[in-house]
Amino acid sequence: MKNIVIAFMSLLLLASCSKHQEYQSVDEMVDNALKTVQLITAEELHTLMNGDGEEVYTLIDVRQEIEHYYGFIPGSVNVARGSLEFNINDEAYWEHVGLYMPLKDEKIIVYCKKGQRGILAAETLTKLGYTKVYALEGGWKKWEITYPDLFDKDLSKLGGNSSAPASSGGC
Amino acid sequence: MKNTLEKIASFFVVIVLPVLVIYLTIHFGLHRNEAHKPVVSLKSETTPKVNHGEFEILQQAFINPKDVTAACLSCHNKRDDELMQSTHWLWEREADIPGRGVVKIGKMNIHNNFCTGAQGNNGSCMRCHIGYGWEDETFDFNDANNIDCLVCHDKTDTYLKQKGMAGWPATEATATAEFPVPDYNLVAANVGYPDRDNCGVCHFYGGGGNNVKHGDLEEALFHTNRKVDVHMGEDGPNMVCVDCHEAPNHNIKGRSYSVSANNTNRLHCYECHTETPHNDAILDYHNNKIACQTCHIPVYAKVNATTLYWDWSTAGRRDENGNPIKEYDADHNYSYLSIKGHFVFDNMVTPEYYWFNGTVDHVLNDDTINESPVQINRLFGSYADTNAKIWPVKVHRGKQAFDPINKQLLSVKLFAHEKGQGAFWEDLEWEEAIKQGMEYNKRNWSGEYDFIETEVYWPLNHMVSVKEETLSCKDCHIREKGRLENLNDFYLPGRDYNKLLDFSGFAIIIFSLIGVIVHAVLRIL
Repeated sequence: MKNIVIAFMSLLLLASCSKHQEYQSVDEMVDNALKTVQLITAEELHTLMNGDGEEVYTLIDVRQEIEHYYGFIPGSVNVARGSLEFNINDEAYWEHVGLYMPLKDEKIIVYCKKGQRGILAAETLTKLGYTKVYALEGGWKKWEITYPDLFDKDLSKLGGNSSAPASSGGC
Repeated sequence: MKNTLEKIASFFVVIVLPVLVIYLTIHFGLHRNEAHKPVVSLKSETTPKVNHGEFEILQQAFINPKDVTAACLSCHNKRDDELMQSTHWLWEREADIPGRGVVKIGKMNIHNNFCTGAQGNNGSCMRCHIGYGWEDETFDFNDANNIDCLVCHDKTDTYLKQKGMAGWPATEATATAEFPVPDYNLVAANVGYPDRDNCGVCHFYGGGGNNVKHGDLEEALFHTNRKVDVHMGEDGPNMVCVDCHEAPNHNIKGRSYSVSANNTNRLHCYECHTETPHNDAILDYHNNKIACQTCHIPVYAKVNATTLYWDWSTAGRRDENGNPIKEYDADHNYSYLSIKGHFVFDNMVTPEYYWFNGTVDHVLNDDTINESPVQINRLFGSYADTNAKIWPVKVHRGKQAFDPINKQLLSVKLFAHEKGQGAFWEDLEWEEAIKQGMEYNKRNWSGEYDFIETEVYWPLNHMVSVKEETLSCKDCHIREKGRLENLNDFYLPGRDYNKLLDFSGFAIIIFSLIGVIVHAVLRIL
């Protein structure tokens, strides 16, 4: 009996030490990531963009290319979340996009459409050793409504822009 | 005997009382938060008492829809008197606005920051008037035959007012595949209480497209589920608009605060759900200061996106070939139209929160603008106002034309059937469009125009969520980034704190505990 109790307690101890964690939903996953990820607001990013330029930072849009070119924050580079881990430290990639590759101790700000992908992307970069990673709170949509006049778009990169919403109504 | 009594008393105290306490605790615990379930009869389940198809007067060969109206009124006499007093007919009502007094307001004379104003754009906007042919100021509001009975009472879903025709359905000359000539005999034979299509054809598409205006009223509600709207879900009560918005004597209950001002003829949740619906005293107590909608509508535009920003100052651009431009965002909502300017759309939007006592002020035609952004409709209310509650609100922001000399919002002619008539949507020329818009509205214009930031406030009422998705305590009662972080005129437990008070509270608790422990130890020793 004593041995069974010891074995059971040992199992419990091992289970508690395990780093493996399962989530019931992506919301739970994002909440967990937020324990380590720092957020930056649209207003703080705006201040940073309008600063004296002494602080080096890289602004990364982690949405898919098909989302990015319809509208993005000026100065941001599109590195889709699926290839972020591979491109972030690939000098050839940064040379291709015409930017300096961010150093591990430089400020990196990532954003997505509404914030959740950005938080997970920021967590990934943190795990890769980047020490000043921020996720834009609310993502592109928050930026878009806070600074509706401050955006870039490049529809030519989308190979046409023919998909139209249905229109109706009195006006 | 004494021994027996003692045994009974002991049995009661040791066995019965604890069991009773445990039972009651479990019973009330299980039923706590079990919401009051209203039992109401639905108008949508009512069918007409007669078969209209049997009436000879409705079997005549109708050419003009006004003849259908005349036939309706030949039996439903006096209904025209009721209807012609309604805001659906008059598009204005008297309102007593604090600081302004009694004024007539409505779509007749107020502004918005969507298409900016109806008057002067009658061909387009008056498609949603419940009459035929309000093309200009000569429209006769006293002619009962101008009433369009069918647009509200058609049950065939085949009767449509044609776009750009000031409320007229298609004729042989104007019919298209989208707008055929109605089969008036079929429609007149199949009338009844309005369903979602009758109301939604206008109220879901206000502002020129699906969900542009309201944010919580859109075409997804034609057929929806409980997660989108717990009342209208086809897997739930499957209610239609008139089940809540009853219309005794054609006076429809409920009001939109984009066009009205007074705290009257409103619809309230408690009319069905009572004022203590939660079976939980603390939650029910919230109702003193929190509108039901605040917790039960945690997001809006749950399916399709709604417009959050509309910048008219960018309108008028053309491409390199001189053609108007249409651009879309990544979700295939408009992001730019030459005829309307730049937009920001979004779905699953978190509301903003404001105190609201049911009364509203509006910028009227003659009002001078002294602020930017201009609050085109301003919700009254504050914590100190005993009639005010915290409400979820869609705020629509934008830029629109104003007169920098006279400091007034401008009326603009947007719609015409063809180019060269001064309409902005056809010619993309501001000056002529403003000139004609101001002339139609009999307003003075300095000749100068610029663009100014504006805001319109829409208290939310629809897209009520299922119980599991309502707000929880920590959505508001949290130190930072809570839903109510912008409402700072009151003390909110969990968010606001006083260091001295907190320290004192903790100290009392700790000293009490120490006292209990010391007392217990002394008793044991």
